[in-house]
Amino acid sequence: MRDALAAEWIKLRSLRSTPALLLTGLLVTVLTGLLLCLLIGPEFRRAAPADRTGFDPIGLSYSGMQLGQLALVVLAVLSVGSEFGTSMIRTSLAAVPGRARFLTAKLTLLAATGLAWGLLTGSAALLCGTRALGAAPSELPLADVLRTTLGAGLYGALISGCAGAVTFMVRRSIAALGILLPLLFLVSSLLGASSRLAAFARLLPDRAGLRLMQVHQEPGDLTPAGGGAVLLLWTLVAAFVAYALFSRREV
Amino acid sequence: MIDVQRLVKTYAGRRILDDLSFHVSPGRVTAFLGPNGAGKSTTLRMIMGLGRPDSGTATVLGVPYRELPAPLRSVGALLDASAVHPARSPRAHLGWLARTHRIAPARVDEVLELVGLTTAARRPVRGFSLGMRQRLGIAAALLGDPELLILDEPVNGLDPEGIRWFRTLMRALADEGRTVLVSSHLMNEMALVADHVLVIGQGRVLSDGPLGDLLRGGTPAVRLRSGQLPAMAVALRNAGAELTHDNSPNGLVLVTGLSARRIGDLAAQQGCAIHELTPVEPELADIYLRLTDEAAEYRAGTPFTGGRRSEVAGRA
Repeated sequence: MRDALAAEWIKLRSLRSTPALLLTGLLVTVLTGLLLCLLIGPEFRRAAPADRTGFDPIGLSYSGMQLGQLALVVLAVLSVGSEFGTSMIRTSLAAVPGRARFLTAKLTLLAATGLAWGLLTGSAALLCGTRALGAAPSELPLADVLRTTLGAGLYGALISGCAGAVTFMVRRSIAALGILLPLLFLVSSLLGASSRLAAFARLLPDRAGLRLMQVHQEPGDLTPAGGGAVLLLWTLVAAFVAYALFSRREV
Repeated sequence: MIDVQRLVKTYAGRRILDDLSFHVSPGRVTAFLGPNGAGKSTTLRMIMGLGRPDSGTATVLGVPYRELPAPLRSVGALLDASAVHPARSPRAHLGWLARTHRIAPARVDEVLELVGLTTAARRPVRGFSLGMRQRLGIAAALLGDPELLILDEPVNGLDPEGIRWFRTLMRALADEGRTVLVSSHLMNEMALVADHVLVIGQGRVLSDGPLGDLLRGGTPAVRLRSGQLPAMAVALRNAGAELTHDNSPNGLVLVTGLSARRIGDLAAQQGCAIHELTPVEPELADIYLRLTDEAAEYRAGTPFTGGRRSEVAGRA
């Protein structure tokens, strides 16, 4: 397993698109968060201390994640999709014939990449966002800072693994992006906008997962742990279905 | 060693493999021949554990491929030369393959050198010609120094120098006692390199035996050129020979059923001048075409030449 994982790491880092995508995702996340925080900053600073908690300065700093995650998702999709697209999957399975081992190695590496990306991106976004807002140190309790930074890492890991698993199911990058991008970009916003479907929207992978990076809690919101658990469940189910299909299919 | 036992595979109601059984032995080069759609690639994928047969078994070195403890050290395969990520370099491609089996990085350089890709080792594969991709595929197959080599169409796209190099390589590998299975449509090339020939058609074995036996089973012919062909033709037919026009100009025919010596004697009796009299050994291509004639799946609608021999000559 370690060898398969190391081989997947060589595959991932030997493509120039990997650092490019990860960097793009980081910049998009940080800059989007920064922009939003700069816009809200004056209002935040004017607000009475009692109202300030409603702003969730920590959560606002991470608000670029929703957009920036797309680069990570694209990376995960391409990493799996290119195996099928170029038939390299045959060479991969010739070297690592155990389908479970290959799939686990691939998804684990994608999750690890997502974790590192999430931790780094999350930290940068939090640092830039809270400074732009002008949040006081007292508004940034260490426990919340640590929890949300770890949450960003966890979110990156799970969403990346989930995207990889979906690509294993559909086997084509385009098809996987066709499912994932609308799901992450449109569906959750659309459902969220309608009050009747909001309860359902909260259970969508990105909506649930983003709770990991929020502090402020509205009535009906999942707790951060609950949100993380829902995303974990999505990812595990996706990985399981991916394995069920992949282990049966011919390549 | 490869052992295929009673493989059956159906795709969309079509029997691609129809109770296919054969054995590939070590120490020789086995040519795996068959028309397009005969089931060659499907068979190779079954051997590699990439496809799932409806029934039957395929084993390598006595076990199913998936049960090999370190597959690349036992089996080297080139199934599809284009199956490399276009943005990856040969070095990175072989690098990850080597890493799955803890093969030393020095071995990567060694096989790159062997296939002549050292100078291109760090360039993305995107810009490679088919021949260079084939070389990379061969390098990947050799990486684990395997006992068994499975190569699907490895000569396609190789330049003449590459083809000769590949021929020598196959010979050397087989002489070292390894098992070498090579599929190809290049009959002339296979006739030069193979010791053993396995022909399949419509998912069944059409022929399986040493190259020499197969060639002996073919019909020897004599190429005859004469200025007085009509007169010769009558005499030859009377003597029991069969004549095939070779679509070539100026009185050239292919005579079967008589030896060159008999033809020469007949010409002398008839007082006919002969310009050429050459015994022609049966060619693998001819024997192959005869074998697969009925089994051919995708043949051109109407043959545009009369004789099969000239079709082959055109291709070679």
